[in-house]
Amino acid sequence: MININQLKINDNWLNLPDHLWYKINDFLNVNDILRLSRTCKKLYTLINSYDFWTHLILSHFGQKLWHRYIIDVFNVSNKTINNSNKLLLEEYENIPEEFLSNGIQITWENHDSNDDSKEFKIALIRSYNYLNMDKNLSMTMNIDDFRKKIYYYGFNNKLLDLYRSNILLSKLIYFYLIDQKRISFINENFVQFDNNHSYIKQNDLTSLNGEVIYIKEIIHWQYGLKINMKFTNILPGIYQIIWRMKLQQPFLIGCTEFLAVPDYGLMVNCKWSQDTFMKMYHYFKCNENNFWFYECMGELIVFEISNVYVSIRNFSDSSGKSGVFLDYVELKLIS
Amino acid sequence: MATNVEETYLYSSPTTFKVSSKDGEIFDIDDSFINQSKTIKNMLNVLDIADNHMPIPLQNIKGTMLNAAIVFCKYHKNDLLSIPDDEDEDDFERDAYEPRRSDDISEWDKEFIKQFTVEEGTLFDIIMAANYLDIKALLAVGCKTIANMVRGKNSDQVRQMFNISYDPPGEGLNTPRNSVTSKESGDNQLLTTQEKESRCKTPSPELMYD
Repeated sequence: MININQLKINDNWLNLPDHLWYKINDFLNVNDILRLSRTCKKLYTLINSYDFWTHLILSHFGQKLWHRYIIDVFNVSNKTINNSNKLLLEEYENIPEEFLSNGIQITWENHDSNDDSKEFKIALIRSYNYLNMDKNLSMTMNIDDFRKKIYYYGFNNKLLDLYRSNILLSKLIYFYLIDQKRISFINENFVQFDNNHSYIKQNDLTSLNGEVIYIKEIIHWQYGLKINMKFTNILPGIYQIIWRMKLQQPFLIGCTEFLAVPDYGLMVNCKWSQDTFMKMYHYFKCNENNFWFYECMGELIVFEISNVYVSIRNFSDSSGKSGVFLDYVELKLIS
Repeated sequence: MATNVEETYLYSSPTTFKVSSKDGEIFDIDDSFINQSKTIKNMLNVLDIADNHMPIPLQNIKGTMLNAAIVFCKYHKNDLLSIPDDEDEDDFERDAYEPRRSDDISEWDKEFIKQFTVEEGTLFDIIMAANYLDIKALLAVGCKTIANMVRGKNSDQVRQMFNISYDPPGEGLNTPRNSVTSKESGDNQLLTTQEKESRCKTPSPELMYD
């Protein structure tokens, strides 16, 4: 005969109402949640439900982001007709040279193909057009496109590829939201340097990848500084562009631009002079403490799934450029 | 707010009420309890029992748990205001990459919750009581405690802790050892050295059962 009390004790944690399990999971990180989901059928089913992950998004990221990614983003669309890339490229001539302080020549050097330069240019044209447009654009994407393109910086994308079309939508979104979208300057897959400077890799235990880039000295005195970086498949949203850097006797005369240009969205262009560099240098007491600092170079608005091109440029020909350590750039979703 | 006047009126004539537990114990409750238990508050608003000294029956709660809940509410009667009313409100101070904090349980609450254990099922009972009575602060302490116990434990340890018997939801992939996520699969070069310790894996392949 079954001892009823015994049975009750055995079962009771599984009898906890779902909303209390949800509440408990509010305090757990993804690792713990996934481990919990492997304990038994009940918790597996509970955790692998659409509602569970939407609840987690609400609990961790608040109403606003929950509303955008669970309700709005898949239900609206922009009616703007996007010209073909070829047509857009022809418009490139129309952008006034002074639109960017260092000119509008956007190129990636030494690349296998020229595609990235072309895409960067097209993104710039589109962004230029958006800036001059009075229409309101919405943040939007379609589900198939999202499933096809979703990309993570801190999680294993190869593994994801095997299950792209099966994984719960809300779970994919939750993982996107917790993913830290950071690219280290030593990651050659995403970053491109000009040939004019000597970029030195230095070990640094506090950095993202264990190594950082130091812009030490110039090879050709009068040539420009240009580092390009490409974030792939960033979802609609508003992002802070955060640079982690350190200064050591910075020497960058002229206008240094920190650019970020999304395929579909509004670009930002943050300009620093030598004065700005020296101010930061003193403000963060780089001379005494050798501190790293995080600087937000503006807020980027992305309307549709986009690659985001990030660049630091200084083409002033009067001087060399040196004295900057670069660790990574992060796109931080803020609202 | 207009309703507040009415509520104050309702409660203020007798400041205490009686409630009875599932096992027949009778307790006096005062404002501290009524203000924190939404269930009781609603009951008093709906039932016109201002003059009635019949105990309100709480058929779902054992006497020991009811007593504990009353003690908890007495201690917390003054910090009612500091409890965020709506847990869904956006909290911009928090770093969104992290889950909600559960290391902020006060010393008194820690001592309080220690008397309940998983083995005897009393921790379960107090959480269920808090849930039934709708006492937010107590429920939060209970859930945080559970979360703290679950954190860092593997599936086997969690099963052991909760005395859950293992019933695999699927075959192969989901058993703890075969699960693809638990293998050290291709290191992602973007993870930092510090993050490698605590890194999260991809949305896991177990999802094929979705």
